[in-house]
This record gives sequence, structure tokens and C-alpha cells, in this order.
Amino acid sequence: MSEKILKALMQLFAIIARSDDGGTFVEGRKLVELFLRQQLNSELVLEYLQLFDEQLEKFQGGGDGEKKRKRTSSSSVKVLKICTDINAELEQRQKFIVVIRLLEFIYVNESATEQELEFVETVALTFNIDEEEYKRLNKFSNPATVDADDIEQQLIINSTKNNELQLSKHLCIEGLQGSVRILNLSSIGMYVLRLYGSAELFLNGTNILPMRVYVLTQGSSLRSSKTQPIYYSDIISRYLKDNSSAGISFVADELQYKFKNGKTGLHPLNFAEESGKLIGIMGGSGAGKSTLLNVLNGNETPSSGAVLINNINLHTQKEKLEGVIGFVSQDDLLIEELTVFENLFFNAKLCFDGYSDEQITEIVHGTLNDLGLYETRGLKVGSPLEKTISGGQRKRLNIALELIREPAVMFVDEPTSGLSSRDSENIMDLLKELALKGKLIFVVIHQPSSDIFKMFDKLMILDVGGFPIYYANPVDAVSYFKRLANQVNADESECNTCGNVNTEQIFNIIETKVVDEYGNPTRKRKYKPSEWNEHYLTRPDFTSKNIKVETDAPKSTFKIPNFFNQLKVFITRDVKSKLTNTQYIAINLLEAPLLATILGYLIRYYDIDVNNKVGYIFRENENMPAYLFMAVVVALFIGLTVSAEEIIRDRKILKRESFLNLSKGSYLLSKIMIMFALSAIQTTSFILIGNGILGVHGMFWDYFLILFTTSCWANLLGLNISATFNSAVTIYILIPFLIIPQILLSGVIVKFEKLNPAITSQTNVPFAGDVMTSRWAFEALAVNQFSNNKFEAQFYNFDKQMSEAQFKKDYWIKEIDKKIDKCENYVNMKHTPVAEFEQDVLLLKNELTYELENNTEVTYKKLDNIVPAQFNKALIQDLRILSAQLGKHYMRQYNKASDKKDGVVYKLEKAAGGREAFQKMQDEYTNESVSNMVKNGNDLNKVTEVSGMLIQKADPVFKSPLRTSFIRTHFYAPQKMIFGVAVNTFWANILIIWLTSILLIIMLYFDVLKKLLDGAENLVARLGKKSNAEA
Amino acid sequence: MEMMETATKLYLKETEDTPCINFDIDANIYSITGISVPENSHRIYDPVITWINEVLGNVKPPHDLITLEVNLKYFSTTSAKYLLKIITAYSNMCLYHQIKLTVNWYYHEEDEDMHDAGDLLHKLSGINFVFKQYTE
Repeated sequence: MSEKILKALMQLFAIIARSDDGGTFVEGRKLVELFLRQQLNSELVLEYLQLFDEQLEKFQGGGDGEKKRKRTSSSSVKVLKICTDINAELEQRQKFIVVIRLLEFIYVNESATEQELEFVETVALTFNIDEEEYKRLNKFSNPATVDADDIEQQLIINSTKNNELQLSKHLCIEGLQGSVRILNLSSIGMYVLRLYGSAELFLNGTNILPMRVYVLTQGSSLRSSKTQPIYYSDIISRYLKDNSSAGISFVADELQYKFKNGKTGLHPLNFAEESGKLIGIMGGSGAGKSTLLNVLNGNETPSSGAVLINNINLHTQKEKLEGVIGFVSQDDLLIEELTVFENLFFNAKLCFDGYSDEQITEIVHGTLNDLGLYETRGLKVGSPLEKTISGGQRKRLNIALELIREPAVMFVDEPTSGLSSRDSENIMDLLKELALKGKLIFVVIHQPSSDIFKMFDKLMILDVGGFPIYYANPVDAVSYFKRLANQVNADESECNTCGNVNTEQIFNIIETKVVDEYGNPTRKRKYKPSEWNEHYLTRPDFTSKNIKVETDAPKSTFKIPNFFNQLKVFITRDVKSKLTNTQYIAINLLEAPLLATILGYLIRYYDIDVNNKVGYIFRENENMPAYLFMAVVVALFIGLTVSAEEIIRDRKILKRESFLNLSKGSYLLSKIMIMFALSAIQTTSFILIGNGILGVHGMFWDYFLILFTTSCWANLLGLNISATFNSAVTIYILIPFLIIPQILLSGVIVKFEKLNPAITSQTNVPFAGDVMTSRWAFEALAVNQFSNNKFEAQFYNFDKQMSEAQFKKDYWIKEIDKKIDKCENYVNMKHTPVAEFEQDVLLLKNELTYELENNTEVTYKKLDNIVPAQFNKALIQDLRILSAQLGKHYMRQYNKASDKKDGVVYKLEKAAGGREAFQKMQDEYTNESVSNMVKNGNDLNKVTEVSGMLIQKADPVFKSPLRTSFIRTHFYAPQKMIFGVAVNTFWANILIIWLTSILLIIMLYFDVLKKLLDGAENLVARLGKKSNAEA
Repeated sequence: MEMMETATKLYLKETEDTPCINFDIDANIYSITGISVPENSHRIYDPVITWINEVLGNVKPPHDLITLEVNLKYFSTTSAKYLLKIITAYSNMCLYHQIKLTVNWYYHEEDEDMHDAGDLLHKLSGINFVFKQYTE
């Protein structure tokens, strides 16, 4: 309470005290003192009391009727002024407390004057307190009121069995002397209490005086030495009971569970409960509490027996019970980047199909209000380390996630672990309240405080190995185990003076250790779990199923939206949470353009020779191949890193969403779409800046398609690994492992034909290269940059024809001629080994056969004769002629293509306006380094002989793939054969990357990598066991 | 309690515990005089406030300045609240019609309390108060 308010209150008290000349004064001063003592330390109490006295003196002074009345007028306005000031500073709840204190003050000597009442009424009205509510409060506070009014806002607690009133609520507490009346101030949900009679009662440990009005705070308890405690929740339950929903019956029938390895996880369990109960589950670690919860909530199928909810089998007729069960796990299931409200809102959107956003907002606000989270609704949840909301609030929010869909049965796993005792009590109070509102709640709990322990209606205790050993009233558990263990004073279950239960005592008895002869406890337990279980089985009340079994299927508002609506929610949720992380957004958006700037700037090379007057020329930039390669690496790297943590972060949320039966496909698709969108943005910015700096003209879409495809592929790879491994660190360690082969085997750093001969091939890209996305992406970029630029595209076909003809006439025929000479030599002299000769003949046959199959102009009928046995002078003569014919043929071909090209060049030069303009176009669109690379210009070896064939090494970019090939070709091939159709490398490579991407999507959906990994781990574990056993 | 109400006039006759209230838009008269210690304040004041809001909400007073004359010997606590409500209601209406409002607050020269009450009401409402002292 602020100083200002206190001062105002002192004035109010003084004004009111003064208005009555008589008795109020002395008694009133005492009351003021009492009131101050509750708020302040003793030093300040004196200070404020002095203030009160001063105020009193100021107004003091008797007078005749007339003068007194006049004074009233001015103090009335003063009251008005003070109240108006208070209005702006106090919460409604505090204003009620002020009014309650004022009422108490004027009633201090049994009766109040009209004047005083009018003062307080004015105060109440100025505080905007409902008139009817004020009247009820006034009457409640009036000591003259003896007979209880029959109003629905009132609860009477006494020892009579029956409710004597019609509307009022009633609570029977045996042995209670006198009665306690409680009034509900419904507008603010506050409860006030008054004791009638002389019973000795304690409210939260302080003695209650009769006739005084007390405010009942959440979690309060009323105790007396002679009666059972009355909890806040007991009281509010009387008010809430009317609107309890349809009942639920929950029956565990001979429930038993065995693990996959045959061990028993749960021994036969029988119990029956109905709605409105709070059940505690306790047990040492390894007792099987979590297993029990998972069987009871339907996650695990029991090996025998059944869980029947309203006579519907939970495990076999699951669909009929959809939404009935709620499960709050021990884990935090919050999205840290979102606010409290948003967390709940998106969760609600996934649970309530067909509700509008407004309706959902309303539901969310309602739930937040119920859980006392309304004020924090706008706060970001934050990580447990960087707290913005408290641990208790986090827990409540986790409960809210489940609560919002109003499941009839709830399982809560250790809701109080890691919370302060105050927060723990709040949480448990909330759960108790929910139970009283008609839910059935099971809570696994560790080391509950005595107060929490007593909140449970029933307590189930499990012992190691899944043995149920107790199921009844929690407080009785102490005496039950004491008696079984033959302890003294077995009937005393709680402290006689303070009423506290020592909950640890139970487990001390259960797990008592055998003591050895030296008095040291051994590891052996005195009572085995099975012994406790035998006792359990002899108690019919522990396994009684005496409840009313409901048969109507429980209703549920839970309905999950369809695939696309889920997708929408997932996407908005994810985008929203990403947008709150400024660092993430900034880095993601700036990474690509920044890299492009650095890269482009660094490799923008030109000759600085004095003779160079033009400056930078794209055609002459020697670093273009490096740029193309780096572009691919950047696309892969960015794509991989951005997605590598996506799924692992949501792991817990995913688990929960699978409990809700939400679509995994929808979730994954949302991730994929967001990642692809990000990739599109990054790729665009990279190309715009990188290509801009280096002066790559045109071809934006070509670059975009290739790099975007690459980036998407990397995204999918990242999602796959983030769904597979169990920690972010593992994933980041893994990234180099995935990227380095991509760099090495892209065909740039090391030439494919120069890899270890064991894996390489001279004809095609080796398999190790073909599985690399970088190889397809880089090849597509390079080939496309060379052949599809605006300049080269005009001549590519002629260049190709020329290149083919030139290779044949300049290299191939020379090789053939050499072979013919060699064979002739052999026939004549037989110097060379026969194997070599046979090899050469085979080569001649292969090469000529293939050549003539594809050549329509030159023919030779006797190809079949080219075998070592028939190799004679005549054949040699024939072959020489054939070779000369082919030479001439290719010379003609070459000239024809060359002439055609010249024609086009001439025309183009004219159209462009002279040779210079034409030259300029070439400078802008072509790049010599790239051309040199795809033409293999640096390699002097233009042809290689491999196993009876001549392999063309020159001009790979002009060399068509073999018609019989399928996709796989040599590097820089202009086309790929796909089912006999030649497809441009550009499209073919994009297609291939997308095909592998689709494969990755399928793997992601079916968790292929994870299953493989788990399988491998199991295998290793089994092998390990075996070798251990053998040893 | 007698109350006369026409389209532009409101007249409440003085009784032993209620004041005389005379509001006349056409004649530009707005006055509250006498004493106010009624048992049920809301019974007399609620209709007055309704009248102000409804009539002045529809009719724009023909004058540029409204002067509310308050001359009360004494009043009860609840009356004080209603007095403030009446002043606030006038203030809202004047703001709405864009005309000026002044309160003439009368008090006996020996009655400092009444002056103080007026001063507080002025502070609470934010309306211009003119304090008029009278000796008899």
C-alpha cells in the first residue's frame, strides 16, 4: 500500500471518527492501530497513528446541530476528493478491502450512526462498487446481524448435517463450534469470512476473532484443533458445484503392463474413480509412476486388463474418447519466442476447429484469467535461463495448454518440481479447484508439503517394480504403514499441535533397510515391494470399484482442424516466433547479401596493366569459375545451417502434438514452406548483389533456379538431420561432415578423372560425384553460363558441330591412323606382344563400328573382318582408305559449320552496328575462364584410350552423351539422356536435384534416418551384450 | 417532492430536506438553493441528472455562457456526490455544445467549511468557480 493511500485512509478514518462524537473514538483508534499493524512495522504504525490523531484534532470540536451539519458538508466533499484520488491508484480488490475496513471501523462499537453509514456508502459508490453488493457487504459486516440472510452469495459452515436455508450454500464440518459465514463478492471473486460463536479457529495460522471480517485469500485454510481443516478450495467448491458438468467414471480393471523385454512395469491394478477427485500418485524413483501415467492416459497399451472411461475402453476405442484426456508432461512445452497469449492462442487454434479468431481469443482470455496469467499475457515466455515469466507461471501456462480444451480427465506429471513452495501451493490449489469443478485429475508428485498432501482426495503409492501398495485417503497412509511396520503410536498420522503430516515418513517405512550387526544400514530392503503388495491385496477398500458407472460417452469440444488449417496455424506460429528473434532475422536476411558483397568484391579481377584502358571486363575475369563454385557452396551452407536446428527445437512440442493427433505432414510441410521461402529470399539477394558486382548480364532466373533448388535441397537435408539427432551440438558437428564431401566432389576442386582410380571412371562422372548435389548444381551453372548466355546462344550449335568435326579430324583420325600403323607393324614384324595387338584391333573395331553407325555419308561393309586373325594387308589398305574418307568428311563438316557461323556473325555484326558493338556484347556476356573450363582447354591430352575405346577429353561441353546412357555422363555434358530423350543439362540437373529433394521429404516424413540410427544403436547394444555374456 | 418538467425547464420545489432546483434553458437560469440532506439522494438527483443529459443533449442552449448558481447552507455526503455529478454533467454538455460554464458558489462569510467544500469541488471537476460571500 502506498504512502499516499495510507495517508488518505488516515484522513478517511479521521473524518468518519470525528463525525461521531461518542464512542467510536477510543475503539476506533484501536482499530486504526490494528489496521496499521497489519500493514507496517511498529515504528511506522506510530507515525501514521500520529497522523490520524492530527487529522482528528483538526476536525475535532463539538458544536451545535447547525454547525455540525455544515461541517458535514465540507467533509463530504473531502471524502469525495480522497476517494477520487484513491480510485486512480488502487485495484478494485484493494478498494474492497478499504471499504471492509471502513465498515469494520464504524461498526466497532456495535452500532453505526446514519452519518457514518452515509460516509461509507458514498465511498463505496465512488469506488464504483455495485450497490447491491455493497448492501450485502454492509449487512454482513454489521454486528447486529445475527440471523443469516438466505442469499446465494453466502456459505454457512457449521456442524449441522442439513442446510437450513434455501439459497445459501452449506458446508458441514463435524465438531465445529458456532458457525462461520462466508460471503462471495462475486464482482471481484473475493470471499470474506466471519465467525459466529466462540470456536477457536485459525486462518492461515492466525487466530480468528469473532465478529471481525476477514478476507479469504487463495490457498487459505481454516483450522481448529478439533476439526478437519477447511481449505479455500473446499469453500469455493460450494460455490462452483452447481455448474459441474456431466460425470465421468474412470475404472482400471486388472490393469497390467509388461515392457518389451518382458519385465513387468505394472502389477495388476484395480481402482475406480469419478469426476471431481484429485488423486495423488507417489512412489520412489523407478517405481513406475510414469509408466502408470502412460498406461492410464492411453499412450501405452496394457498387456492385459483395461482402462474404461464411461465404460469405453481407452485403448481399443480411442476415437470415441478423443479430447477427453489431457496430459501435462513434466517438460516445458512452450514456444519461448512467443508471448503467453500467443502460446495459448495457437494451441487453441489447433484444438478448436471451426471457431473464429475472436471466439478463440475469448476462450484464451478466459483461461488466462482462470489461471491468474491474464496480466502476463503480453510477456514473451523466454527460455528458462532468460526468464521473463516465473517458473510458477510457466508451469501454469503448461497446464493451461491442456486445460483450454477442457479434458474431463487430466494427468499431470510432477507439476511442482522446481517450484517454490508458494508456487507449488498455487499450482496445486489450481488443480484442486479444477477437480472440484468436476474434472478427474491424477497428479504424480514428489515430496509434497503437508498442505499439498492433504489436498488429495486419494493417494496411490507405487513401489519399485510397479507394485501398487496403497490406495486410499492420503493422511491415513501414515498410520497404515506405521501399523504394518509395527511402529509405536501408529494412530498418530499427523502432528498433534500443528496438524502437519510428515510425508517422508511413509517412504522411510516403505523403504526401510535391513541393518547389519554393526548397526549400519545395508542395501537390502526390510520389506520387499511384493510384501507390501500382498498387504494391499488383502484390503478390499483399496481395490473397491464402488462408484456409479456412467455410460454416456463423454462430450468433448476438442476437434482438430484439417490438414490445411493446421498448416496455416503452424506457419503463422512459426513465422511469428521467428520474427520476435531480431538476431535470427537480421542474420538470415543479411548473410547472403553480405557474402555476395565480399565474394563479388574480392574476385572482381582485371588486368591493371597500363595498356588496359577499359578497366573491368567480364569476359576477362579469371575468377568466374570460383564465383560459380562459391555460389553453390554458399547455397548449400546457408540452406543447411538455417534448417539444421528447426525440428530439434520443436521436439517436445512435436511430442505433445502427436498426443493430440495433429498431422505430422502438416507440421513438416509448414517447416519446409518456411525454409523454402527463406531460401528464395536469400538466393535472390545473393544473386542480385553477386551477379551485379561481377557484371553477369542477364540470366537472373537461370542462376536463381539452380541456386534456389540447391538451397532447398540443403534445407531438406538440414531438416532431416534435425529430426534425427538428439542434440543441437551433434548436428553442428555433423555439418562439416556433410559439406566437405560436397565441396571436394563437386568436380571443381579435384577433377573427377583424377580421383583415386579405384573409384573413378574416365568415361563418366564417378558414382561418388553423382551423389553430390554440388556437382549437379555447379555443372548446371557452368554449362548454362557458357552455352546459354545471350552471346554464345547464337552460335552454340555451330560451335558444337565445329568442335565435333574438329575433334574427329584433328585427334580421332590421327589416333586411328596410329593404330593402323601399329597393327601393320605387328603384322609385318611381330615385334609387339600379341596382347597389345589384339587390344589395338579391338579398339579399331569398336571405334569404327560406333563411328559408322552414326555416320550416314561414309560406309564400310566389312567391319566384321576387323579381328586379329583376318588382319592382313588388304584390310590395312581398306582401313587406310576409310580413314582418309572420314578425314575428308569431317573437313567438309567443319567447313560447312564454320561458313554458317561466319554468315551469322556477319549478320549479327551488321545488326549490332559494327564489329565493336559485337565485341562489346561478347565482353559482357561471355567469360573466357568459364569457356576454358567447360572446354577442358588446359588439358593437353585431348583423347585417352581406355579399355578398347577412345575417350574424347577435349570440349566436354560440346560432346553429346551416348544415346544409350541414362542421366549419368561425363562432366560438363551439354545434355543428359532421360529415357532416350536428350534434355538440356540445365533442366536435367535441376530435375535431378528436385528428385533427390523429394526423396529427402519422404525420408523426413517416415523418419528413415532416425530409424536407421536407432536400428544401428540397438544392433551395437545387442552385440555389446552378447560379447559381455560370452566374456 | 414536487417536480415540474417541460421541454426546456425543470423545477423542484424546496422541502425541509431537499433544495430548490430551478433549471430554465430559455431564461438561462440554473440554480440550486437551500439545504440537501435527503434520505434517498438518488431518488431526487437521478432524475435531475437524466434531465440534464437528455434535454441538453438535444437542445443547444441559446446563450454562450451558463452560470450554475449553487447556494446551499449544508448538504449530506451523498448529496455531495450528486452535486459533483450534476456539475460534471453540465460540464460535459457545455463541452459538447462548445459553450462556457461557470459555477457561482455562495457561502456565508463565517462558514469557511462551505468555502473549502466549494474549492474541493472546483478541484475535482476542473470547472471555473466564482466564490460569492454573503453576510446574511
